Amino acid sequence: MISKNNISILRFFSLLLFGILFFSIISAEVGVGISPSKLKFQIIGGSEYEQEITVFNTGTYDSEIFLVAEGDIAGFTEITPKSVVVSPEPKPHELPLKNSQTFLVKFDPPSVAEKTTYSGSLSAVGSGSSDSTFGGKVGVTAQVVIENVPSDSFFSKISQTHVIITCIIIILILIFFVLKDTDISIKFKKK
Amino acid sequence: MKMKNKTKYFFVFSILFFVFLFGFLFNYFSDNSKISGYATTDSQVGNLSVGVETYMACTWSDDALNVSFGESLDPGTNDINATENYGLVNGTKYNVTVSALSTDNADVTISGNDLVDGANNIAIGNVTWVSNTTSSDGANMVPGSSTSITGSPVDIATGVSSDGSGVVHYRFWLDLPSGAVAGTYVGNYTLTCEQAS
Repeated sequence: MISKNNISILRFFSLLLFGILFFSIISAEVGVGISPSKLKFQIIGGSEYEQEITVFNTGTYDSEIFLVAEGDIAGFTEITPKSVVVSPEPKPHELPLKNSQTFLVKFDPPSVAEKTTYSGSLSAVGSGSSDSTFGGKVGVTAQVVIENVPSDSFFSKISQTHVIITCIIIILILIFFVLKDTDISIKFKKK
Repeated sequence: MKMKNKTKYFFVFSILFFVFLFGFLFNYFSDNSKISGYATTDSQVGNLSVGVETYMACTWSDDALNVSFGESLDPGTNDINATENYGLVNGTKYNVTVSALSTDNADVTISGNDLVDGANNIAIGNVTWVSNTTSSDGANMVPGSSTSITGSPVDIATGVSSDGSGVVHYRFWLDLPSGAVAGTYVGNYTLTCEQAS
């Protein structure tokens, strides 16, 4: 036998549970953060430069975040690892970050004869469920500007072409002296 | 003759020695010329650099990642509402907030890929958007004011405040071409926040 009071209490807790569930559903969020948000540096041609990129989650549940290089820098940028799973930052969000993860980004631009500027971006991208009709991917982008300058070293001014030509000249000189010692000669006669 | 051979071998070995020496020195100095660069996130003058930690973060409503235009749609129908365009009383449930952790205001961009079902596709240009930074049901948020999504990022809002109050609300519509073959089409779009230019 359930009394009217018990039914009222049951109704109250049912509504409370529904309210909590409803609130948790409507407040679900996905968030992505990146630091630094802008990166500008100078690099000597032929050298490598490593930079740590921090990503964090301003959403309400764990999120897998990928870091992607785009633009001019994509061809010489290596990122490890490919993705990280990041837990949400506790609210209210504040610095220092509590659950951030880092990517190691290695820039290895080619040697250059004159100063060259590359522009690109590093995007930290998260995504929602894969079964939606029109799924959203969300991301934050760090702008990257790299000034690639020639090295001051004498040897940096020696190109592969210089080395090849020098080797050919040395080989020709060697052939000349070896042929000379074996008494083989070439004579040109006037017609 | 003996002396001549000795001279020849001496000469050949000398040349080889110099070639190897040259190669070694070239390799040695090339490796040692790999001097690390220097990075700052703000400014740089001569050999003095100033490094300031910069952050950019945005938070999207969960609905923004799971957009649907419904089922059993009729080809040739225009301005089909995304299901949550009016999910918040009269307002849209699709929004992005620039986090107060951000150290600069943000530009928000959108791009997308075609909706595909096997060999059939609906071009992404058939999906349109409109945004508003003050209201989830702004007067401008109607199909007549909307713009097609493209494959390249386009600003949907610029200079959005990073003080925690900066929100961008947006809506989507689909124009379903009359020749669309029946099927379940799946596509995606990307929303990106970056430091305001």
